[in-house]
Amino acid sequence: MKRTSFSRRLSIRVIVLVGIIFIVQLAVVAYTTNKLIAEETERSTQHMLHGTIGEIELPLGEVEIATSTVASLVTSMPDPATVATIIRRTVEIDSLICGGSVIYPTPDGIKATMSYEDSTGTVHSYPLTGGWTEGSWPQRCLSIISQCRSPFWAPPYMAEGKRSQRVTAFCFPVFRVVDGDSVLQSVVTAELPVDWMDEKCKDLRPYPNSLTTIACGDDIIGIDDSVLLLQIKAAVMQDTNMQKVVDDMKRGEDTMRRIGSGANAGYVVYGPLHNGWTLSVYCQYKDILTRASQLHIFLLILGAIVLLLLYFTCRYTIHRMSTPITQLSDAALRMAKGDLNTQLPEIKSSDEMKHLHDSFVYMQNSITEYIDELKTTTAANERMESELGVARNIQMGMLRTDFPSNLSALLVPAKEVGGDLYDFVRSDKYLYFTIGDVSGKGVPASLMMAITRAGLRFVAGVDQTMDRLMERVNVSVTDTNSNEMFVTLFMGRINLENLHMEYCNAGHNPIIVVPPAGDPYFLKSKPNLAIGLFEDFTYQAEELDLAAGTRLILYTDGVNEAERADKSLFGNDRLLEWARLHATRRSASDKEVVDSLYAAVQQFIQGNTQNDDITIMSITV
Amino acid sequence: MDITIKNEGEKTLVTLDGRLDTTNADQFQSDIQPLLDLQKPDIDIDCTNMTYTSSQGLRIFLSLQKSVLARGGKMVLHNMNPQVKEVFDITGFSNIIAIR
Repeated sequence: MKRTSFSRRLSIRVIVLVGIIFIVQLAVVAYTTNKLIAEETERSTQHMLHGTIGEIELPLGEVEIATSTVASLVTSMPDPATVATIIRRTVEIDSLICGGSVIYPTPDGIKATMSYEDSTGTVHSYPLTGGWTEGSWPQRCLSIISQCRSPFWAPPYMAEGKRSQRVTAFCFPVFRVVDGDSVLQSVVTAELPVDWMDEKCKDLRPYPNSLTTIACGDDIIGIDDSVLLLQIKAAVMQDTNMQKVVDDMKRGEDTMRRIGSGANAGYVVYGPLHNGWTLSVYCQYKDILTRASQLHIFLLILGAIVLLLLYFTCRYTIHRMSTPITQLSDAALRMAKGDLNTQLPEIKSSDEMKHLHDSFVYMQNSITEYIDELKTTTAANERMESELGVARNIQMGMLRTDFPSNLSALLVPAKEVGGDLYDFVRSDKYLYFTIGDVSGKGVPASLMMAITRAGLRFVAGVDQTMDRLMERVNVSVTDTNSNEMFVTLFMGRINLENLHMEYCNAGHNPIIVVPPAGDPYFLKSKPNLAIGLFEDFTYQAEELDLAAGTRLILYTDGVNEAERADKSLFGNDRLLEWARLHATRRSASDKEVVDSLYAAVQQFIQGNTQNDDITIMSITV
Repeated sequence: MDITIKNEGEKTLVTLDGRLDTTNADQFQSDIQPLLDLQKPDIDIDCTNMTYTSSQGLRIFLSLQKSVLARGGKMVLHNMNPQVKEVFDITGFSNIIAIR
């Protein structure tokens, strides 16, 4: 598995967190600024619109005044030639008016005189006579006047004469009263080129995709970019708000509406001119917000760069700060491999890292001390074990193994050293023998055993009764016993000539007598106290005559109290049963008998730990 | 080995239950400590349920006995089962410790 470094993981988390905060912040800023910019732009567009309306209305008003002035002259000077001259003169002097005419409806048809200024500034006048086709300008003009009977601005049209100019005209009707009826006498018109209005519309173009138009009834001024118009028309005409815009315009409202959606989302600002036309500006939000969007993208890129820098800075810093952890970890590994004096990194700060370092130093010292202590303890233990081994050798050396043919013994301590003992001495015709068991086990018992053996050796061969001998041993042991330890001891002496046995049992297990004929039995003895307790205790000896071939089995409680895992004991019954089966065989040597009992005990405990010293002795007479 | 110690007037009643062997002899030694602190001990020990005692157990009984006698008191072991009694008999402890 690939390990991701701590610094990397932490850095990534920091970056993700900061990144999320940054993006949310940017989104809020973008949303708010877009909204504010849109609102501000809508307002400013409305101001611009009003300014342009004023700029357009001013010359229109001048033309209206000029036309109405001429018309009033027509009323007072009915001579057509004079009127034509006035009109020509007006065209010549008025910089705005590019053409003018007076149209008379007569019973013979329409009569009109037209004056216009060509591109060089020369004014031409000519009568418009005959050949009027349906739909021609004078005819349309008259037809409108007959309906509305008031001055009006004509929608743009291609100028008459040798001009290729779109114009609009202010038409002023002159009425006279005939028989009480108001009859149209003539119409005075003043033409105004449309191109300056186109220019005005182009000037009012806040953004590349903005579209400014003047709606003059069914016609539109300000449209020369037909491709753009088509595109925008296609996008916005389907919008439900567009109809509302059209309705507003018809009512002459001065307002603003948002139209379109997606990329074509935008708004229309519109306001009426006094002559019923409507000036409108359509702007797309994407134009307006282009700068803002660019700013946002710039911020985004800047943010990304900052985040990237932050990531590497974070990683570097965290890596630098966590380097001690890596070093401490390596040090721990080296310590684990046994290099306890390994160099620890230096920590200059006084933060958690320092704390960790100090703990480490403490641990290093503790472990070093602990190991030293362990070494000392182990050495002490080894020394003690070795000493115990020596002690065991010494103790085993105290036990005689130079058995005569009619005697054999075995001593197996539960620990290195034990508290059991046996001994035998041949003196003249006597065989002295003894078996004993010190209370407890281990070193204390073994020392007591050594004392007891010394006492025994001291009295062996002394010509006294067994009870006196036992008392002497008791005194010598009690003298040195301040610890309430005691020794059970069986001591016997057989006269090998007549097989008379004297014995004294100081609290020891009864020995087994295996007569040459008959069943083995426990040799009952008087209840003497174990030795080592009361130095003035009086012991009682007993006597027994043995038949030739009698076998004596002596043992310590490690035999009859040998214990299995289930706590059941070997017991006296099992012991006697063993004697019946194995000790009665005449052919068996004493060694074989001893080994047989030991094997029986081992078999009984089934591998359980031997919990007491075992001593067995067999004597055959 | 479970040991219960109760005071009944002047007498102290002790009940022993279980085996007293090498593994718990030290524990037994500390369990009977209260008995060694009595001013004028008159101790009855009920051994009905004591199933076994090792030589170390005997030693503890002996030291208890010595301590009791030194303070001019008395101590009696009751209802000892035959196997345990046999150990006391064999070692001669029956001669120096009162058993009924």
